[in-house]
Amino acid sequence: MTGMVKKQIANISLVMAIGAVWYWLRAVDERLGDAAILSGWLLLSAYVGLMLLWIRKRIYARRWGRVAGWLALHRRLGWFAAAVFMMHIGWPIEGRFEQVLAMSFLVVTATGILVSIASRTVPRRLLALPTDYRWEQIPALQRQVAQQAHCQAIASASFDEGATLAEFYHTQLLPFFQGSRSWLYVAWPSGSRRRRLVGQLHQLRRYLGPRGKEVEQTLARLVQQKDDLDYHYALQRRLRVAYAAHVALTWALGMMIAAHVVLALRFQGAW
Amino acid sequence: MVPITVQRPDRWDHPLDPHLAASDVKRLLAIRPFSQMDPSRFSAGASLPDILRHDCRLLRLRRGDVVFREGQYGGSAYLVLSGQIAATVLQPPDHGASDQPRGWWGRVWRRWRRRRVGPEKERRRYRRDDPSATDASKRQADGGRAILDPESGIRFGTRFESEERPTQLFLQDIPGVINEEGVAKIGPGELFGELAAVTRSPRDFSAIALRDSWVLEIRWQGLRLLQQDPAFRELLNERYRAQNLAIHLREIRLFRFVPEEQLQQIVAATQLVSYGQLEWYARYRRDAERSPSERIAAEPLIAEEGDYSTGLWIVRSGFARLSWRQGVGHRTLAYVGKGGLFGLEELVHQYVHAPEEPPVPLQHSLRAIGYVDTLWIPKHVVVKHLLPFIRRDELPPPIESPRYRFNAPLLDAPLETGPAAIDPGLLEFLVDHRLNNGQQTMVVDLERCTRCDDCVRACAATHGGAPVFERTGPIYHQWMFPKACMHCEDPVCMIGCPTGAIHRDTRTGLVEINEATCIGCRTCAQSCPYDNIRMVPVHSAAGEPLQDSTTGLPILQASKCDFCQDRGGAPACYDACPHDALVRIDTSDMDSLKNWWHRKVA
Repeated sequence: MTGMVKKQIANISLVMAIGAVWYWLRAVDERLGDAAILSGWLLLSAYVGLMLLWIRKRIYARRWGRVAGWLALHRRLGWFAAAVFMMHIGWPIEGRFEQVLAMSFLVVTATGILVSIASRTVPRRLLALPTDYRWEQIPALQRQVAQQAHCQAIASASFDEGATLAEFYHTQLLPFFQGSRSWLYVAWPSGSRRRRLVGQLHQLRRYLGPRGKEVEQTLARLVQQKDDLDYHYALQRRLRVAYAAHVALTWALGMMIAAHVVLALRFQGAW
Repeated sequence: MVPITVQRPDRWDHPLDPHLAASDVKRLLAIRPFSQMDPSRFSAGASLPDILRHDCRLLRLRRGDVVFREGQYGGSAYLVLSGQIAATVLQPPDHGASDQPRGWWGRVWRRWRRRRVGPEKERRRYRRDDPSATDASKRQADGGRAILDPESGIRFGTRFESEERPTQLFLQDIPGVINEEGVAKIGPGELFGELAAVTRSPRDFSAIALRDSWVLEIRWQGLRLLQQDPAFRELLNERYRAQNLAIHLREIRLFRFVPEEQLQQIVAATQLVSYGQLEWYARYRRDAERSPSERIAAEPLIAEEGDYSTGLWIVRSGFARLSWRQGVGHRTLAYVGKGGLFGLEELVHQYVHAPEEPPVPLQHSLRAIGYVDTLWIPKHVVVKHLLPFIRRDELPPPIESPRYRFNAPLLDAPLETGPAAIDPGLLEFLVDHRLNNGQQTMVVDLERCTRCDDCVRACAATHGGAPVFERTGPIYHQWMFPKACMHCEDPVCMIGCPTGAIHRDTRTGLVEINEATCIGCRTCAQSCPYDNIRMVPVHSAAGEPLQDSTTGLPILQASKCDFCQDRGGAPACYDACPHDALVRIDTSDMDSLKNWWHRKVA
């Protein structure tokens, strides 16, 4: 069975499961039963099922199937939970606590979708770069590139053309090489600053001698390299932040779900 | 934490046979071939008695005892001291298709069956460890009962020896399994099993005691030292020609219908030729900075395109590059591994398909990648003794439009090699980086990898907190080949190991390091051309670092990917990848590589 066929079977099963739940809840409702309690327990079960991925990722010693398989299950269970959630809530949502709970659920779902999309798009964007960098090595490489640029710029001050390059480095390139990028860049990385700096460097060529032109080319290459490193860092950080947010909010949601279950059972008179 | 001071381990701290006494060594020195060796050929630090004392083991075998099985990886040669050993290919009874579970349903069925028939029986059927391995601890679990080998369908028994001696496995029904006619009998003074030990390859045959026998096991490290004696080296070569060459040729598909008499003619005419250096990794490192065309030009040439075809080449071990000239460079078309043939197309074209036409010269070049052992059979022998016995449908097709013809201009090589071929760039890349050597090469699809490092974390968690691979390495298009042990077809890391600590698992062929016998000499780490072996500090069970009492330096040991053998099944890194980005593939086998390439890319 190919991967595509397996995916299609899983997707069809998901749609059928959602349809069956919808039909079941409607039948319970028509018989004047409490459909919200049923859908609530289903949601709680789905939440526990979703947390299994987190547990599986921490079990290394024994074989419990591939994490890739668990992730595929997690994604479909997430869609199932979202569908049951829509059946579970009434509209408008009454009660401040329930509103916050519903909002939390939506945010967790949204971050999950974001992580899912990012995990598909980020690798392709990283692959477009000429070099692959390891996350933990990026700060050291950034420092190394900045150091190289600094040495080149300082050395160029002794050339015939004087301090042209050194001055440009001091005013334009130093903040780029030694500073960190803004949160806006981390959220939406773009190459506009690199293009601007490389363009300005090229404009200086008319004032430079042969040795100065060599340094200008080296600096342009270092600008490109620093931008690649920043881009790598931003994309990887974005994915990591989205994942961390998804996990942290899932735990917060879990606590709120626990409180909601207690409240619902109390109101129902179960306790 | 306060370090513990210990004495640095030495090469012969763990002799192969701790029970081997000085009197045994004295007796061994009096018999052939040791009695004929020149003691002055050996260094003072590793004298002949030292080698016998530390790298040899006396095995007492009873009738039916299995010394080793065909297909197992072996690191030892054996010398028969008394009795008789049968060298044979075990003929398994026909028991239908393989019992290995296939696919998801297969695994479910197996689980259900295990519940029905009991885990003990089921485990024996599917365990990864071979019941015939010589590890006593593994076999103790079977409680001395009869074992049905799932692969061959042959029934073995276990025979327990004393606590210190390994348990012997014996064949329960010798006449039923061994056909006397197809058996080579090995008697006192004869050596066997040395070829697999020297070439680090699987055994070609099974060895079973036909009578109660005494056998001397010589591990590979000792065998290598013994080869310092020229007479012993010559003896090994002669033995290969006399006994193993015929078996070796018979294993090649095209030779299977050649009558015995004709085969002996071929054996007599075959030349054993080696190209390159056994320790090729040193040159590989040195040449890393050179351009690809310079590197290819520097590779030892086995046969060159455009030359007159003089015979048939068979790769005995190692890898060779099949290439042709493209522009001013050379283009890799494939790599040829053990058992691969070269030059057959031209001979078949000349003598079978177009006997009335003038001969065609060689259409491709063959160059040694590192070190290659070849067999060369002269053309007239091939034509007379081999070609008549190859089935017509197994012959290579005629060469439709030869690029090279005698007295004709050279045709340009086409860039397009057809949809069935692997990307030529990938082939060049694999050979340039010597990744063609890997049997379990780790490949990461960077189009899927989110760089989450879950694989590295899983590896660290299963190896005491320190990962044994690095998620970095050469990249071809979207494929990264990280620095993880590839469990090579030809593991050059094993060549220099003085204690045999780095060895192949007899059953799986995976390259392992025995922590108990690794003395931290760094030889394997320095010889691995891929830098996939690292030296790591050794700690006591309580976590204290160990340091050398003489130098005060930390005690180191070699560490590398062990394929998570203790965990069972797939390695942790593969299981942990959430995005299906990490795979292990056999890049040493062109067919396996083609399958993977067409599944992923085409």
